[in-house]
Amino acid sequence: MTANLRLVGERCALIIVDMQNSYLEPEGAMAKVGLDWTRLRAAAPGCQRLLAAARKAGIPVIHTQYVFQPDFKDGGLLTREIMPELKEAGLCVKGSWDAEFWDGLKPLPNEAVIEKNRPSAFYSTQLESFLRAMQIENLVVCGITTSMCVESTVRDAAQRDFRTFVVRDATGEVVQDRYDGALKTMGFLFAKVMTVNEVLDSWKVELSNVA
Amino acid sequence: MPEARDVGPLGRERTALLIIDMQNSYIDEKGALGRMKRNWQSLREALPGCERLLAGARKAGIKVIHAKYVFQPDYSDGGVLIREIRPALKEFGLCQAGTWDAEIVPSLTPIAGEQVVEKNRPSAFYSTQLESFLRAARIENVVVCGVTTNMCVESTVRDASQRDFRTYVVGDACGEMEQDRHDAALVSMGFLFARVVGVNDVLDAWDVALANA
Repeated sequence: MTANLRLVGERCALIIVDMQNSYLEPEGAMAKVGLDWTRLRAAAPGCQRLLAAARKAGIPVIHTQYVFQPDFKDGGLLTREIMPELKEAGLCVKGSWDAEFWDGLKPLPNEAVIEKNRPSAFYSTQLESFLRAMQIENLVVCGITTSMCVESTVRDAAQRDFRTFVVRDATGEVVQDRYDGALKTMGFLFAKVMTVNEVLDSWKVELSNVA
Repeated sequence: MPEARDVGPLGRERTALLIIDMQNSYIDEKGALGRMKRNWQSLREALPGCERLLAGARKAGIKVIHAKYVFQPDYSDGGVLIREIRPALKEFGLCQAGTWDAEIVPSLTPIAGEQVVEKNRPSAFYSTQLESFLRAARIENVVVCGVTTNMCVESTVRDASQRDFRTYVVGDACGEMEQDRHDAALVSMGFLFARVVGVNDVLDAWDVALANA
Protein backbone atom coordinates (compact mmCIF):
# COMPACT_ATOMS: atom_id res chain seq x y z
CA MET A 1 0.00 0.00 0.00
CA THR A 2 1.15 3.56 -0.58
CA ALA A 3 0.54 3.99 3.17
CA ASN A 4 3.77 1.98 3.59
CA LEU A 5 5.78 4.92 2.28
CA ARG A 6 7.51 6.81 5.07
CA LEU A 7 8.43 10.46 4.66
CA VAL A 8 11.64 11.79 6.15
CA GLY A 9 13.45 15.09 5.72
CA GLU A 10 16.64 13.50 4.40
CA ARG A 11 17.13 13.28 0.63
CA CYS A 12 13.80 15.06 0.27
CA ALA A 13 12.65 17.86 -2.04
CA LEU A 14 9.47 19.93 -2.27
CA ILE A 15 7.94 20.40 -5.72
CA ILE A 16 5.41 23.20 -6.07
CA VAL A 17 3.45 22.74 -9.30
CA ASP A 18 2.27 25.71 -11.39
CA MET A 19 1.26 28.22 -8.70
CA GLN A 20 1.01 31.06 -11.23
CA ASN A 21 -1.22 34.09 -11.74
CA SER A 22 -2.89 32.30 -14.63
CA TYR A 23 -4.53 29.85 -12.29
CA LEU A 24 -4.80 31.82 -9.04
CA GLU A 25 -5.94 35.33 -9.91
CA PRO A 26 -9.34 36.62 -11.05
CA GLU A 27 -7.62 38.28 -14.03
CA GLY A 28 -5.80 35.07 -14.98
CA ALA A 29 -6.45 32.88 -18.01
CA MET A 30 -8.36 30.20 -16.07
CA ALA A 31 -10.99 32.76 -15.08
CA LYS A 32 -11.11 33.97 -18.68
CA VAL A 33 -12.03 30.51 -19.97
CA GLY A 34 -14.67 30.18 -17.27
CA LEU A 35 -12.98 27.67 -14.98
CA ASP A 36 -13.32 27.96 -11.21
CA TRP A 37 -9.96 29.52 -10.26
CA THR A 38 -11.13 30.03 -6.64
CA ARG A 39 -10.80 26.29 -6.08
CA LEU A 40 -7.20 26.51 -7.29
CA ARG A 41 -6.50 29.49 -5.04
CA ALA A 42 -7.60 27.30 -2.13
CA ALA A 43 -4.30 25.42 -2.51
CA ALA A 44 -2.25 28.55 -1.79
CA PRO A 45 -2.22 28.61 2.05
CA GLY A 46 -1.09 24.99 2.22
CA CYS A 47 1.64 25.60 -0.36
CA GLN A 48 2.80 28.67 1.58
CA ARG A 49 3.12 26.65 4.78
CA LEU A 50 5.03 23.88 3.00
CA LEU A 51 7.33 26.41 1.37
CA ALA A 52 8.05 28.18 4.68
CA ALA A 53 8.71 24.85 6.37
CA ALA A 54 11.00 23.59 3.60
CA ARG A 55 13.02 26.79 3.78
CA LYS A 56 13.27 26.48 7.55
CA ALA A 57 14.31 22.82 7.36
CA GLY A 58 16.76 23.34 4.51
CA ILE A 59 14.81 21.09 2.17
CA PRO A 60 15.42 21.88 -1.52
CA VAL A 61 12.49 23.55 -3.26
CA ILE A 62 11.61 23.26 -6.94
CA HIS A 63 8.99 25.48 -8.55
CA THR A 64 7.45 24.33 -11.81
CA GLN A 65 6.07 26.88 -14.22
CA TYR A 66 3.78 26.19 -17.17
CA VAL A 67 5.05 28.44 -19.98
CA PHE A 68 4.09 28.63 -23.65
CA GLN A 69 5.94 30.51 -26.36
CA PRO A 70 4.20 33.78 -27.29
CA ASP A 71 2.82 32.34 -30.53
CA PHE A 72 1.96 28.98 -28.89
CA LYS A 73 4.06 27.16 -31.45
CA ASP A 74 5.01 24.74 -28.69
CA GLY A 75 1.40 24.23 -27.60
CA GLY A 76 0.84 21.14 -29.72
CA LEU A 77 -2.50 19.38 -29.89
CA LEU A 78 -3.63 20.90 -26.60
CA THR A 79 -3.80 24.49 -27.83
CA ARG A 80 -4.32 23.60 -31.52
CA GLU A 81 -7.19 21.12 -31.22
CA ILE A 82 -8.20 20.17 -27.69
CA MET A 83 -8.65 23.54 -25.94
CA PRO A 84 -7.85 26.35 -28.40
CA GLU A 85 -9.57 28.74 -25.98
CA LEU A 86 -6.47 28.52 -23.78
CA LYS A 87 -4.54 30.23 -26.54
CA GLU A 88 -7.22 32.90 -26.94
CA ALA A 89 -7.01 33.55 -23.20
CA GLY A 90 -3.21 33.86 -23.38
CA LEU A 91 -2.61 31.09 -20.86
CA CYS A 92 0.89 31.19 -19.37
CA VAL A 93 2.48 33.09 -22.24
CA LYS A 94 6.21 33.48 -21.70
CA GLY A 95 7.06 36.91 -20.34
CA SER A 96 3.50 37.82 -19.42
CA TRP A 97 2.04 38.59 -15.99
CA ASP A 98 -0.20 35.56 -16.49
CA ALA A 99 2.78 33.18 -16.48
CA GLU A 100 4.48 34.72 -13.43
CA PHE A 101 4.55 33.00 -10.09
CA TRP A 102 1.84 34.16 -7.74
CA ASP A 103 3.01 36.82 -5.27
CA GLY A 104 2.74 34.67 -2.16
CA LEU A 105 4.94 31.90 -3.59
CA LYS A 106 7.82 33.60 -5.42
CA PRO A 107 10.97 31.50 -5.74
CA LEU A 108 14.14 32.60 -3.96
CA PRO A 109 17.31 32.86 -6.05
CA ASN A 110 18.62 29.54 -4.71
CA GLU A 111 15.46 27.63 -5.61
CA ALA A 112 15.20 25.80 -8.92
CA VAL A 113 12.58 26.84 -11.44
CA ILE A 114 11.54 24.25 -14.03
CA GLU A 115 9.71 25.59 -17.06
CA LYS A 116 7.46 23.09 -18.78
CA ASN A 117 4.99 23.16 -21.65
CA ARG A 118 3.24 19.87 -20.97
CA PRO A 119 1.32 18.56 -17.94
CA SER A 120 4.09 16.46 -16.41
CA ALA A 121 7.00 18.41 -14.93
CA PHE A 122 9.22 15.47 -15.91
CA TYR A 123 8.44 15.51 -19.63
CA SER A 124 11.04 17.33 -21.75
CA THR A 125 12.49 19.16 -18.74
CA GLN A 126 15.61 19.01 -16.58
CA LEU A 127 13.66 18.08 -13.45
CA GLU A 128 14.90 14.50 -13.24
CA SER A 129 18.56 15.44 -13.66
CA PHE A 130 18.22 18.13 -10.96
CA LEU A 131 16.74 15.61 -8.55
CA ARG A 132 19.29 12.88 -9.32
CA ALA A 133 22.16 15.36 -9.01
CA MET A 134 20.92 16.30 -5.53
CA GLN A 135 20.51 12.60 -4.66
CA ILE A 136 16.85 13.14 -3.87
CA GLU A 137 14.79 10.03 -3.09
CA ASN A 138 11.67 11.51 -1.50
CA LEU A 139 9.39 14.01 -3.20
CA VAL A 140 6.65 16.07 -1.63
CA VAL A 141 4.32 17.43 -4.31
CA CYS A 142 1.80 20.24 -3.97
CA GLY A 143 0.19 22.83 -6.25
CA ILE A 144 -2.30 22.65 -9.10
CA THR A 145 -4.25 21.24 -10.69
CA THR A 146 -4.73 18.03 -8.72
CA SER A 147 -5.97 15.79 -11.53
CA MET A 148 -3.96 17.34 -14.36
CA CYS A 149 -0.39 18.60 -13.82
CA VAL A 150 -0.04 17.39 -10.23
CA GLU A 151 -1.24 13.88 -11.05
CA SER A 152 0.80 13.61 -14.26
CA THR A 153 3.89 14.72 -12.33
CA VAL A 154 3.17 12.33 -9.46
CA ARG A 155 2.67 9.40 -11.85
CA ASP A 156 5.99 10.20 -13.48
CA ALA A 157 7.80 10.63 -10.16
CA ALA A 158 6.52 7.28 -8.91
CA GLN A 159 7.54 5.31 -11.98
CA ARG A 160 10.99 6.90 -11.73
CA ASP A 161 11.22 5.35 -8.24
CA PHE A 162 10.99 8.49 -6.19
CA ARG A 163 9.12 7.87 -2.96
CA THR A 164 6.27 10.30 -3.64
CA PHE A 165 3.97 12.17 -1.26
CA VAL A 166 1.09 14.35 -2.41
CA VAL A 167 -0.33 16.90 -0.02
CA ARG A 168 -4.13 16.84 0.05
CA ASP A 169 -4.68 20.31 1.55
CA ALA A 170 -2.04 22.01 -0.58
CA THR A 171 -3.50 21.13 -3.94
CA GLY A 172 -6.58 22.29 -5.86
CA GLU A 173 -8.77 21.34 -8.82
CA VAL A 174 -11.49 23.27 -10.65
CA VAL A 175 -14.14 20.63 -9.92
CA GLN A 176 -14.58 18.54 -6.78
CA ASP A 177 -15.07 15.16 -8.46
CA ARG A 178 -11.75 15.28 -10.30
CA TYR A 179 -10.03 16.44 -7.09
CA ASP A 180 -11.42 13.45 -5.19
CA GLY A 181 -10.77 11.04 -8.06
CA ALA A 182 -7.17 12.19 -8.47
CA LEU A 183 -6.32 11.75 -4.78
CA LYS A 184 -7.86 8.28 -4.80
CA THR A 185 -5.94 7.36 -7.96
CA MET A 186 -2.61 8.65 -6.70
CA GLY A 187 -3.12 6.99 -3.33
CA PHE A 188 -3.89 3.64 -4.97
CA LEU A 189 -0.46 3.05 -6.48
CA PHE A 190 1.64 6.16 -6.97
CA ALA A 191 1.90 8.28 -3.83
CA LYS A 192 1.03 8.48 -0.19
CA VAL A 193 -1.63 11.14 0.38
CA MET A 194 -0.72 13.36 3.34
CA THR A 195 -1.76 16.62 4.99
CA VAL A 196 0.41 19.71 5.42
CA ASN A 197 0.62 19.08 9.16
CA GLU A 198 1.76 15.49 8.64
CA VAL A 199 4.49 16.66 6.29
CA LEU A 200 5.67 19.28 8.79
CA ASP A 201 5.76 16.61 11.51
CA SER A 202 7.79 14.30 9.27
CA TRP A 203 10.21 17.13 8.57
CA LYS A 204 10.27 17.96 12.29
CA VAL A 205 9.45 21.60 11.59
CA GLU A 206 7.29 23.83 13.71
CA LEU A 207 5.91 27.02 12.21
CA SER A 208 4.60 29.93 14.24
CA ASN A 209 1.67 31.62 12.54
CA VAL A 210 2.88 31.23 9.01
CA ALA A 211 0.44 32.53 6.43
CA MET B 1 -26.49 0.87 -28.19
CA PRO B 2 -24.69 4.03 -27.05
CA GLU B 3 -24.88 7.11 -29.18
CA ALA B 4 -22.11 7.47 -31.76
CA ARG B 5 -19.38 9.84 -30.62
CA ASP B 6 -17.40 12.32 -32.63
CA VAL B 7 -14.07 10.80 -33.54
CA GLY B 8 -12.62 13.89 -35.20
CA PRO B 9 -10.05 13.07 -37.86
CA LEU B 10 -9.64 9.41 -36.86
CA GLY B 11 -9.40 7.06 -39.84
CA ARG B 12 -7.06 4.37 -41.09
CA GLU B 13 -4.30 6.81 -42.00
CA ARG B 14 -1.37 7.27 -39.60
CA THR B 15 -3.23 5.36 -36.91
CA ALA B 16 -2.10 2.68 -34.47
CA LEU B 17 -3.97 0.47 -32.01
CA LEU B 18 -2.26 0.13 -28.64
CA ILE B 19 -3.47 -2.75 -26.47
CA ILE B 20 -2.31 -2.42 -22.87
CA ASP B 21 -1.39 -5.34 -20.60
CA MET B 22 -4.01 -7.90 -21.64
CA GLN B 23 -2.09 -10.67 -19.91
CA ASN B 24 -3.02 -13.79 -17.95
CA SER B 25 -1.93 -12.04 -14.77
CA TYR B 26 -4.84 -9.65 -15.00
CA ILE B 27 -7.42 -11.39 -17.16
CA ASP B 28 -7.37 -15.07 -16.19
CA GLU B 29 -8.80 -16.55 -13.02
CA LYS B 30 -5.52 -18.41 -12.42
CA GLY B 31 -3.45 -15.24 -12.91
CA ALA B 32 -1.78 -13.27 -10.15
CA LEU B 33 -4.75 -11.00 -9.46
CA GLY B 34 -7.09 -14.01 -9.27
CA ARG B 35 -4.73 -15.72 -6.86
CA MET B 36 -4.65 -12.52 -4.80
CA LYS B 37 -8.47 -12.63 -4.71
CA ARG B 38 -8.62 -9.27 -6.47
CA ASN B 39 -11.37 -8.38 -8.91
CA TRP B 40 -9.88 -9.78 -12.13
CA GLN B 41 -13.41 -10.29 -13.49
CA SER B 42 -13.87 -6.56 -14.01
CA LEU B 43 -10.64 -6.48 -15.97
CA ARG B 44 -11.78 -9.38 -18.14
CA GLU B 45 -14.76 -7.26 -19.19
CA ALA B 46 -12.33 -5.38 -21.42
CA LEU B 47 -11.60 -8.52 -23.43
CA PRO B 48 -14.50 -8.63 -25.93
CA GLY B 49 -13.90 -4.99 -26.87
CA CYS B 50 -10.17 -5.55 -27.29
CA GLU B 51 -10.86 -8.63 -29.44
CA ARG B 52 -13.13 -6.63 -31.73
CA LEU B 53 -10.65 -3.76 -32.00
CA LEU B 54 -7.83 -6.17 -32.78
CA ALA B 55 -9.88 -7.96 -35.45
CA GLY B 56 -10.88 -4.58 -36.88
CA ALA B 57 -7.33 -3.29 -36.95
CA ARG B 58 -6.07 -6.44 -38.66
CA LYS B 59 -8.82 -6.24 -41.26
CA ALA B 60 -8.16 -2.54 -41.90
CA GLY B 61 -4.38 -2.94 -42.00
CA ILE B 62 -3.83 -0.72 -38.98
CA LYS B 63 -0.61 -1.04 -37.04
CA VAL B 64 -1.03 -2.96 -33.78
CA ILE B 65 1.19 -2.62 -30.73
CA HIS B 66 0.82 -4.81 -27.66
CA ALA B 67 2.21 -3.46 -24.38
CA LYS B 68 3.19 -6.09 -21.89
CA TYR B 69 4.01 -5.60 -18.19
CA VAL B 70 7.03 -7.81 -17.39
CA PHE B 71 9.28 -7.94 -14.31
CA GLN B 72 12.61 -9.72 -14.14
CA PRO B 73 12.40 -13.15 -12.44
CA ASP B 74 13.93 -11.75 -9.23
CA TYR B 75 12.00 -8.45 -9.47
CA SER B 76 15.27 -6.55 -9.40
CA ASP B 77 13.62 -4.03 -11.73
CA GLY B 78 10.49 -3.63 -9.61
CA GLY B 79 11.63 -0.51 -7.79
CA VAL B 80 9.70 1.24 -5.04
CA LEU B 81 6.41 -0.32 -6.21
CA ILE B 82 7.53 -3.88 -5.49
CA ARG B 83 9.90 -3.10 -2.64
CA GLU B 84 7.71 -0.78 -0.59
CA ILE B 85 4.24 -0.12 -1.98
CA ARG B 86 2.97 -3.57 -3.02
CA PRO B 87 5.37 -6.38 -2.08
CA ALA B 88 2.46 -8.83 -2.51
CA LEU B 89 2.74 -8.49 -6.30
CA LYS B 90 6.13 -10.17 -6.08
CA GLU B 91 4.91 -12.87 -3.72
CA PHE B 92 2.15 -13.77 -6.17
CA GLY B 93 4.46 -13.68 -9.18
CA LEU B 94 2.71 -10.87 -11.06
CA CYS B 95 3.96 -10.67 -14.65
CA GLN B 96 7.18 -12.49 -13.94
CA ALA B 97 9.36 -12.84 -17.03
CA GLY B 98 9.13 -16.19 -18.75
CA THR B 99 6.00 -17.36 -16.94
CA TRP B 100 2.51 -18.16 -18.20
CA ASP B 101 1.31 -15.33 -15.96
CA ALA B 102 3.10 -12.72 -18.06
CA GLU B 103 1.83 -14.02 -21.41
CA ILE B 104 -0.75 -12.13 -23.41
CA VAL B 105 -4.15 -13.88 -23.27
CA PRO B 106 -4.62 -16.45 -26.07
CA SER B 107 -7.36 -14.59 -27.95
CA LEU B 108 -5.14 -11.52 -28.32
CA THR B 109 -1.84 -13.25 -29.05
CA PRO B 110 0.29 -11.02 -31.29
CA ILE B 111 0.89 -12.20 -34.84
CA ALA B 112 3.87 -11.55 -37.11
CA GLY B 113 4.15 -7.88 -37.94
CA GLU B 114 2.67 -6.70 -34.65
CA GLN B 115 4.98 -5.00 -32.21
CA VAL B 116 5.30 -6.09 -28.59
CA VAL B 117 6.58 -3.47 -26.14
CA GLU B 118 7.75 -4.80 -22.80
CA LYS B 119 7.55 -2.37 -19.91
CA ASN B 120 8.14 -2.54 -16.17
CA ARG B 121 6.36 0.67 -15.22
CA PRO B 122 2.76 1.87 -15.68
CA SER B 123 3.29 4.03 -18.76
CA ALA B 124 4.10 2.16 -21.97
CA PHE B 125 6.16 5.20 -23.00
CA TYR B 126 8.51 5.21 -20.01
CA SER B 127 11.88 3.53 -20.66
CA THR B 128 10.57 1.71 -23.73
CA GLN B 129 10.92 1.97 -27.50
CA LEU B 130 7.23 2.74 -27.99
CA GLU B 131 7.70 6.36 -29.02
CA SER B 132 10.39 5.55 -31.57
CA PHE B 133 8.19 2.80 -33.07
CA LEU B 134 5.31 5.24 -33.43
CA ARG B 135 7.44 8.06 -34.85
CA ALA B 136 9.19 5.73 -37.30
CA ALA B 137 5.79 4.59 -38.58
CA ARG B 138 4.67 8.25 -38.77
CA ILE B 139 1.72 7.54 -36.49
CA GLU B 140 -0.36 10.56 -35.43
CA ASN B 141 -3.46 8.89 -33.98
CA VAL B 142 -3.27 6.36 -31.18
CA VAL B 143 -6.27 4.26 -30.14
CA VAL B 144 -5.77 2.83 -26.65
CA CYS B 145 -7.55 -0.08 -24.94
CA GLY B 146 -6.77 -2.68 -22.29
CA VAL B 147 -6.17 -2.69 -18.54
CA THR B 148 -6.30 -1.13 -16.12
CA THR B 149 -8.23 2.01 -17.06
CA ASN B 150 -7.00 4.15 -14.18
CA MET B 151 -3.44 2.84 -13.90
CA CYS B 152 -1.50 1.72 -16.98
CA VAL B 153 -4.05 2.85 -19.57
CA GLU B 154 -4.33 6.34 -18.09
CA SER B 155 -0.57 6.76 -17.55
CA THR B 156 -0.02 5.73 -21.17
CA VAL B 157 -2.77 8.01 -22.47
CA ARG B 158 -1.38 11.00 -20.55
CA ASP B 159 2.05 10.30 -22.02
CA ALA B 160 0.72 9.83 -25.57
CA SER B 161 -1.18 13.08 -25.36
CA GLN B 162 1.69 15.21 -24.08
CA ARG B 163 3.81 13.77 -26.90
CA ASP B 164 1.19 15.23 -29.27
CA PHE B 165 -0.33 12.01 -30.48
CA ARG B 166 -4.06 12.46 -31.11
CA THR B 167 -5.24 10.02 -28.49
CA TYR B 168 -8.45 7.99 -28.28
CA VAL B 169 -9.32 5.84 -25.28
CA VAL B 170 -11.94 3.17 -25.90
CA GLY B 171 -14.08 3.09 -22.77
CA ASP B 172 -15.83 -0.23 -23.48
CA ALA B 173 -12.53 -1.95 -24.27
CA CYS B 174 -10.90 -0.95 -20.96
CA GLY B 175 -11.33 -2.43 -17.51
CA GLU B 176 -10.65 -1.42 -13.93
CA MET B 177 -11.14 -3.28 -10.67
CA GLU B 178 -13.49 -0.67 -9.23
CA GLN B 179 -16.20 1.10 -11.15
CA ASP B 180 -15.53 4.50 -9.53
CA ARG B 181 -11.89 4.54 -10.63
CA HIS B 182 -12.89 3.40 -14.12
CA ASP B 183 -15.37 6.26 -14.37
CA ALA B 184 -13.03 8.85 -12.83
CA ALA B 185 -10.23 7.84 -15.17
CA LEU B 186 -12.42 8.36 -18.23
CA VAL B 187 -13.45 11.78 -16.91
CA SER B 188 -9.81 12.82 -16.32
CA MET B 189 -8.62 11.53 -19.66
CA GLY B 190 -11.57 13.09 -21.46
CA PHE B 191 -10.97 16.49 -19.88
CA LEU B 192 -7.61 17.20 -21.45
CA PHE B 193 -5.80 14.17 -22.80
CA ALA B 194 -7.97 12.02 -25.06
CA ARG B 195 -11.29 11.57 -26.76
CA VAL B 196 -13.30 8.90 -24.97
CA VAL B 197 -14.95 6.72 -27.61
CA GLY B 198 -16.57 3.30 -27.98
CA VAL B 199 -15.50 0.23 -29.95
CA ASN B 200 -18.21 0.84 -32.56
CA ASP B 201 -17.09 4.45 -33.07
CA VAL B 202 -13.58 3.25 -33.83
CA LEU B 203 -14.70 0.47 -36.17
CA ASP B 204 -16.90 2.96 -38.02
CA ALA B 205 -14.00 5.39 -38.33
CA TRP B 206 -11.86 2.59 -39.73
CA ASP B 207 -14.73 1.64 -42.05
CA VAL B 208 -14.59 -1.96 -40.91
CA ALA B 209 -17.54 -4.32 -40.69
CA LEU B 210 -16.98 -7.39 -38.52
CA ALA B 211 -19.05 -10.55 -38.82
CA ASN B 212 -20.79 -11.34 -35.52
CA ALA B 213 -19.84 -7.96 -34.15
